[in-house]
Amino acid sequence: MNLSDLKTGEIGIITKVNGSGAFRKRILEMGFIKGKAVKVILNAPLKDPIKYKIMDYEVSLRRSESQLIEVTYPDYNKKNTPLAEAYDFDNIDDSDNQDLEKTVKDGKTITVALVGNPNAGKTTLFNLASGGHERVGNYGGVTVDSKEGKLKHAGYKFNIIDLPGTYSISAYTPEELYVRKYLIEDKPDIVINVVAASNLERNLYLTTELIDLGVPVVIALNMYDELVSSGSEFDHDKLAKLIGIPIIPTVGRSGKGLPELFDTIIRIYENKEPYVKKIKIYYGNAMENAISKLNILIEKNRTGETDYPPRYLSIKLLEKDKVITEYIKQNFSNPNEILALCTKEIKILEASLQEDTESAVTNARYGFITGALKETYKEKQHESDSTRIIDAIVTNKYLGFPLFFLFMWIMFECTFRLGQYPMDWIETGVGALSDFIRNSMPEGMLKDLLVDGIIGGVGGVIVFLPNIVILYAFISFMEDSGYMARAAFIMDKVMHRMGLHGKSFIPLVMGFGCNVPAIMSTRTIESRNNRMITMLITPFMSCSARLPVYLLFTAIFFKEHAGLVLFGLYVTGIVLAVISARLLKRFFFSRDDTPFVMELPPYRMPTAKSVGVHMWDKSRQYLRKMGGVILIASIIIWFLGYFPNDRKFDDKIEEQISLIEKKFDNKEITKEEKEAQITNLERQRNLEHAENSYIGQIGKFIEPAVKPLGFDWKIGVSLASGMAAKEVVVSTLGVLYTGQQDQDEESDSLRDRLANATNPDGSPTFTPLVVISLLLFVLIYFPCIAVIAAIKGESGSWKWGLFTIVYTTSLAWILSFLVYQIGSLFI
Amino acid sequence: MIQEIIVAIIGFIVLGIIIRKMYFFFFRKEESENVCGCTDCYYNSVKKVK
Repeated sequence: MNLSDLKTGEIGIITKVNGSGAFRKRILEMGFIKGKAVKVILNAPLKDPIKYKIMDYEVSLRRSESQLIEVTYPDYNKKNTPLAEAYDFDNIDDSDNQDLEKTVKDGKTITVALVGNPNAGKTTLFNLASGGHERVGNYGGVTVDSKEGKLKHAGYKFNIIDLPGTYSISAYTPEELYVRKYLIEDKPDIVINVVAASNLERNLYLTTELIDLGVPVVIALNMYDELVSSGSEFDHDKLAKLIGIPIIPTVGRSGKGLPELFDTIIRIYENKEPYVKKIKIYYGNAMENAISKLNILIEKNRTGETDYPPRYLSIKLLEKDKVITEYIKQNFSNPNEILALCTKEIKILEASLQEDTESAVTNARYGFITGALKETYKEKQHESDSTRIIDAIVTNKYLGFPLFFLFMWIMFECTFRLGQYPMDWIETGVGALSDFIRNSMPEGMLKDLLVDGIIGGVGGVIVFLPNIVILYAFISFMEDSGYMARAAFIMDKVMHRMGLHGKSFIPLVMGFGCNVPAIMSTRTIESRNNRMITMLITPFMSCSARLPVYLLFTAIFFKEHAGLVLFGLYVTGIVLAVISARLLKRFFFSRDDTPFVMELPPYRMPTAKSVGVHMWDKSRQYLRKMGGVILIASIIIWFLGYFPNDRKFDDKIEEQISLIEKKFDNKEITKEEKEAQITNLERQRNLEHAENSYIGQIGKFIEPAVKPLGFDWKIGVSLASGMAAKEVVVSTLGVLYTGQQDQDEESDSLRDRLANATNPDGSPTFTPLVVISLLLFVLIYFPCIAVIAAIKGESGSWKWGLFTIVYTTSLAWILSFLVYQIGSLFI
Repeated sequence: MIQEIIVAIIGFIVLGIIIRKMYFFFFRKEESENVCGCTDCYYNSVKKVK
């Protein structure tokens, strides 16, 4: 029978894994091998995917994928030993084992690379060791690029490289290839293999590949506190001696074990570490025979130094690794001879072993691990834990979706309501600063730049800092707790109907923070088509940079229902993303079903420190942006709005004002009439000045394009300036909407200035309909140049970047046009 | 007069920053700090030596 036939709570023993290609390879590497026990934990709300437990961790598979795995019920009368042959460490022949080459090392700089399964704690260790603030989250696929940090310890300088998490270093996903390429080409001095102590069996699979690769390794046995508190016993010293790799327990969250880890690295570097020895993983007689034959031919045919050890090349060829096959073709004098022998040996092996060579190699590696753990690890069975209880609620078929939408609504409501108070305080502060400069500085260009340009522009955006921080606190909590992976689990079937993959859900949710890392995190999606679609619809996920625009206008026109309007905007973005995904799938990317294999980590309570660090990081990045892009953009907008400074019209207005003053002195007009006439003249001067400025000319040029949407030239220019960063829309509005009416304490804020803004004919510039049209436009048109650059970088072509600009801007124009024009008929 | 001179200096500094950014964007492949310039650039390493 198949794995999909098992009911919730039942256990099956794997007898065969069908299927082919990337899915089969991935599923084997994750431990779905012959003889392993698998338990069904629960089904997602739409009965798909299904959560399983294997090798002490939880993973989800789609129903269609679990149908490819054949199982039987366990025979409880037999002793519970796996069918896979465990490696017998007592009988290994040590004569093949060697000491690592003793090379004289010069210099006091050691390069170390962090390698390990996703979610094992590499980046947490990296942050602690190097003082970095790289992003961590309780789900796999957070780090998609390498990062470098530095550390000084015991007289040595360390360059620490944090690599993306991988289950293995085979050739199926971009990050696996990236890690392998890095280890081979960049040759770090030592590799720190971060192994999650809560999940030894699966984590050690990557260790076996590192042993084959022959790189110097130290294991950081991370989350060691969880192992200890579980009651299980693990003799890591003994395991270290067995596999020839030192093992240092660490606790990533607190930094415990880090000094010992780096002391060990120094000892390895200086060839003083007693545990280090080179061992060979034994793949069985038949396989070893084939490996030896290939070794001889590889040695005979090599033209120079090869990057890979010959034994590693032989094993990979027998595993049918396409990248290594290409490598052989390009780097050996007679590659056809080697490949022909490989093909012959594979045929012999598959006939004798009655299984394909990929499975045979994977089984042998897991056999090695099983044997090692048999001698060193005693697991304590534990009953249902908090993860299971929480999952029973949040992934419940009736409660799962409503709870998810409830969490989203709470997030947006809190962002607005809680953020309102500190927002008001910052606004008061900005207003006070503006007043101080206005009153204390003499009239002149610098004063205008400071008040109207810098404070008007930057001040308009900085008030939204509390809202941004609160939004990120919620996103960070969801990521760090492990809920994000559950959300992907329950949304997989929905994503599947959109033509996407459950793994697409995480980048899309990340897009609510910023679209750029969301686009980069699509690297974790194996299928190129799904990756492209996810990338191209990510701009519809309304990023935090758009929040200031939304908050500004909803506070003026929809104050009572601001949270609901915000939620509605985000939902609109999601709906447009769904529709776009379907269209892209239909017209540009043919149907390409990728397996959904995703690990579900246990829930972890984010510490107050980690949430606090995230909030501080976000604040710092936002403030850095204020001092960077926003400040520059505000100054540019001010310059464009200030020049050319035509004094002739100003002089004419001044003359007319003097005339009016004279009339008042002569009692020809009343005080009220005088003030009204002067106000009118001031308005004309400001209007003339604005329209004749460079920015006015640009605005007038694009006004015909935006007028049908209900926008005037100032709104048009503000939207255009948003190409640099969405917050610049607000800062541009702040610069352009100044001095249109009397400036007093009550009307000093940008909100008031916008609320009171009028067209030349005296009608209000911003009506509820115009605001809805504007908010829709901001939601839909492309976020910023950085996003276009990220799409170009990830897709490899400017074509898709340009496509995004044209598609999103056209869609924004059409929808805003329809809303405004149809709305005008009724309102 | 002094105010105009200061504003002119600020203008030239801003122009220089823009030219530099555009040069790096189009002609140089290596990463510069704050590559994306967005609020939330996760792809900067904080290089610290302890």
